[in-house]
Amino acid sequence: MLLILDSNEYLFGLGLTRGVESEKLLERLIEKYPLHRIRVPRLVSDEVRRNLPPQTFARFIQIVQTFTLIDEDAVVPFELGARYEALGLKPADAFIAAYAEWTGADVLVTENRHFLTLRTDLPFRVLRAEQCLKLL
Amino acid sequence: MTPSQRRTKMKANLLKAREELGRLSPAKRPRTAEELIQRVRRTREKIWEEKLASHS
Repeated sequence: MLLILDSNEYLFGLGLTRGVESEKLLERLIEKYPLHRIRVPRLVSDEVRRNLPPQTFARFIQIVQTFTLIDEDAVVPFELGARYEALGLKPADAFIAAYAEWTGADVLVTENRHFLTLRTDLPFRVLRAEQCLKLL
Repeated sequence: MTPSQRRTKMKANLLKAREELGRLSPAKRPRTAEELIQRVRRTREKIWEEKLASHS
């Protein structure tokens, strides 16, 4: 399964604030490596960087780079983002949704309620960590 | 490196990251899940504004 984890999932998973399900999600992905794949856009990596001490960010990078390379944001077609903005997402959230579609992801995992209220006929599922764990 | 070795290395990095964040002063950590989500939202908006500004 191909997953996109929103930055809040990584920050909960690494333990910046207690988030038991996100912690379990990160552990499960590592335990099952290389069964599931993740992709990470530069925007998510930058958000994580700005919310972690430098040495902890380096550990995050070491973990994600085992799974994947970080994609530069410019690779996502602008039109795709515009389509998600038209669905009511803010531009940066629309970019994340567009990235999930562009990568062909099965699931976007997030605790961000702006995504969780999106309509359900999207090319990927939007799930909280707790829901995603049931699929892995 | 074998998949098993990679898993071991990732687990070690995860544990060390959690130890480091556990030592952070409470003032530097969001106290609740909602606080973390809001903090990340603000970060996202700021980064996006910076990206737009750098392209204009």
